[in-house]
Amino acid sequence: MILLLFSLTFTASVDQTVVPFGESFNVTVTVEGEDLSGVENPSAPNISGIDILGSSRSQSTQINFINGRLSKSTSYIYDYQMIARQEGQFTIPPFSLTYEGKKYSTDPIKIEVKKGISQRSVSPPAVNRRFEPESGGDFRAVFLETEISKGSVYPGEPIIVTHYLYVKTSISDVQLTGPPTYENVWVENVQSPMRLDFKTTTRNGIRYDRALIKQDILFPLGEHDVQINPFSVQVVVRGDMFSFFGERKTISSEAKTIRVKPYPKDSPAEFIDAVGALNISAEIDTSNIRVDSPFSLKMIIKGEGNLNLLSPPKFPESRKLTAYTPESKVNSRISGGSLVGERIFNYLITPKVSGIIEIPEIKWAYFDIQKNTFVREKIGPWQIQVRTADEIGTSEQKSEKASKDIAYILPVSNKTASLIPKFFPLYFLPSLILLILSVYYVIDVRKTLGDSRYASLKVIPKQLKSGFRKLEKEIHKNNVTEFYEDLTYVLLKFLKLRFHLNAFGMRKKELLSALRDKNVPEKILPLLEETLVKSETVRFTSLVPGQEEMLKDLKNLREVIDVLH
Amino acid sequence: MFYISVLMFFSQIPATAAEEYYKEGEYAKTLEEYNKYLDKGIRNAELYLNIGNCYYRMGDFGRSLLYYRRGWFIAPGSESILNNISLFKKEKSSPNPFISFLSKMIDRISLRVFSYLLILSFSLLIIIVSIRLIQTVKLISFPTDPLLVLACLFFVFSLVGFSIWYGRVKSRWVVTTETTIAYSGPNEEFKELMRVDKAEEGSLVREDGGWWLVHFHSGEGGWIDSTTAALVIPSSRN
Repeated sequence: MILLLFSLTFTASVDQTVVPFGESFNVTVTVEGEDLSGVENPSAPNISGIDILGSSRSQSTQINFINGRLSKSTSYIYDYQMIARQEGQFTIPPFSLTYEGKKYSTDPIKIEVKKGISQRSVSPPAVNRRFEPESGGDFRAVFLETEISKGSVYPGEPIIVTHYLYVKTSISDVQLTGPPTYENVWVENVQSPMRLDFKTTTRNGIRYDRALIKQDILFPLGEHDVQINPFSVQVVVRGDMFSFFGERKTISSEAKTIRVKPYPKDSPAEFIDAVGALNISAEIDTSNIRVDSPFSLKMIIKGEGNLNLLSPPKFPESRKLTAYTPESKVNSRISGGSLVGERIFNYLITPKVSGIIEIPEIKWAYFDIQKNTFVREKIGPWQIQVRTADEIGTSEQKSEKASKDIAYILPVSNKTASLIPKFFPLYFLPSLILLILSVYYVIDVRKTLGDSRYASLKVIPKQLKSGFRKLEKEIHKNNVTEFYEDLTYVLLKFLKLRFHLNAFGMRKKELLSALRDKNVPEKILPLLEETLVKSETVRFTSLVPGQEEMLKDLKNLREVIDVLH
Repeated sequence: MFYISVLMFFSQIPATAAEEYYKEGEYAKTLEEYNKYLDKGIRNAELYLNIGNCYYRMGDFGRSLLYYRRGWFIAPGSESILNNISLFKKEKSSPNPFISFLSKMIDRISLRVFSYLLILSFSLLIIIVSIRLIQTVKLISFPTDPLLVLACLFFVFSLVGFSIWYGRVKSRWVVTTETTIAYSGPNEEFKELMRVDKAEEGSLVREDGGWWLVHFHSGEGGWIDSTTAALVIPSSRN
């Protein structure tokens, strides 16, 4: 199968010559040379009855000093994954390659595809190995090894446990007698391959073919040490040419113990069993509900840790709320050797009374492995408005109320609104005054209409006021005759209104006599007489008094009227 | 209208600390902020509503209703206040549609508005009466009779509304403690008549040595310890 042409080596090989029907196998094509620049990819042949599932290419370079001379070798390795469509014997035709005008080909390879071969059986790489019996030291031809990620952990802290089969000889028909078992742990299986996949590895300086049997993540339950119990596989070991059919052997793993240490003593009261790098959040599905109607409080714990083992956070006691045991759901996956995802606790809660009810703050804590300390978390509190059925009303009323609810406050202006206007009673005063005036007016009018004497007296002041104004104007204009005519008129008019005398038709003596009859003070009569005489004298003679005299006569008239009024 | 909008805009205090605290659920701090408004002598319906909301959120339903009622006295037509009061109780309406309509109308008009209506209706009535008087001595062509009837009705409506609201302002009280007991006399040695829960309300009839003789809306009555309840308008009895 090896073709050597000058400095280029072009080979092909298979990982197994007897293939269980239905399983894939690998064909490896290697191009090796000192300078592979310009080498094209080999062309895969058409293989009757076999499908190529996929291919990949890798490259390696090796530099050697041989006899003081540096040599460099480069390899291109092409892996083709194939699967047979039916049982039988197949020949994989040569792969071909053209390089610098020359065509290179690999040898054909024969394989056999069979039914009935155990899926757990394996044909290690078709390379003859010489059986080397177990001797001292660490060397063993076939053995099981259990690898653990940590030798000592806290309760709930994840441990990755991987079981390998190490082989340094040709084996077949690997039978697992039972799965690996553990004690005091919760087990999450990471992988259990259906087919053993051997890969070359070095252990204590010795090369082995190693296949993964099973990988689990263990979460210690409580503070009891974790026990990894021994488990066994049966294999047929094909040794040297004298034991051609091989020898069936049972190989067992060693038991292992992982110490579980207690948590630090400062664990908070709210800590239950959460371990990892976690965070908690919560949401309620309503903020407005009816009395005795349930609502949901969903707590979500996310992150990396013992999600499957988590106990629900404690819901605080409340007289106004009834909380039922939560439903639990976990969405997790294995990632990077740990459990990642979320744990959901769904609490069903029923309010027992109406009003604004507070769902109390919930305290929770987890143990952070990385920081080796407890981390406290708080969620809530929340408030919900609980109403009775009557308060809620129809859905239309409910939506109408939403914007007027206690959830809202209004902008507050800086004005002050009084309940009653200031000086409230005073506002009635104008109306009352109006009423009084109206009544007075009506009474006055009625009195005037029914009493002529009263009516006469009522007009005197008005008459006097206009009369005096006129007299003053005439003094100012120096209208002597008009002044004394008006003076006589004012006086006689006054006497007529005041004493109901026909003053304009009476002689002077008659007038004075009539006034005496009316009990007029005697002392004023001479002045009255003098005023009348003076007025007649000026009117009927050529006497022209000056303004000072007219003022004096006006003063006399005022004095007379003041006494008689 | 623009002027009024601008005036309203500038008369409102912008985003306050109280509003921020309320959004954050810090109701005690919100109350402290609103008490500063009260200390400044500011009294309005929005302020009382917001204080009522704070107490409601804090679960103090008695004081919550007390402040809603204070806001209601100022702005009885406020939908927000009516809505929040309805959280406590539903007002019963009269089976007679006319009385029910009248009652609702009166309930939506504040004492302040009724005060102005009373002044207006009284003035109108006096003017019409005055004209009517003058018509007895002077010939004035004015249809006073129908106007006098309308003015009388207007005045009676205003007077009734004013009296109802004035009575409420003078006597309305609310239970502010978790519960209180109504006795048959003004001390605890008298017979216990009933137990009254927080946010129950009624009208005060008279006082006697720290005890109130009260009427409940249910029609029952009794003496309660005045420290367990508060008048909606505290200065109204002075």
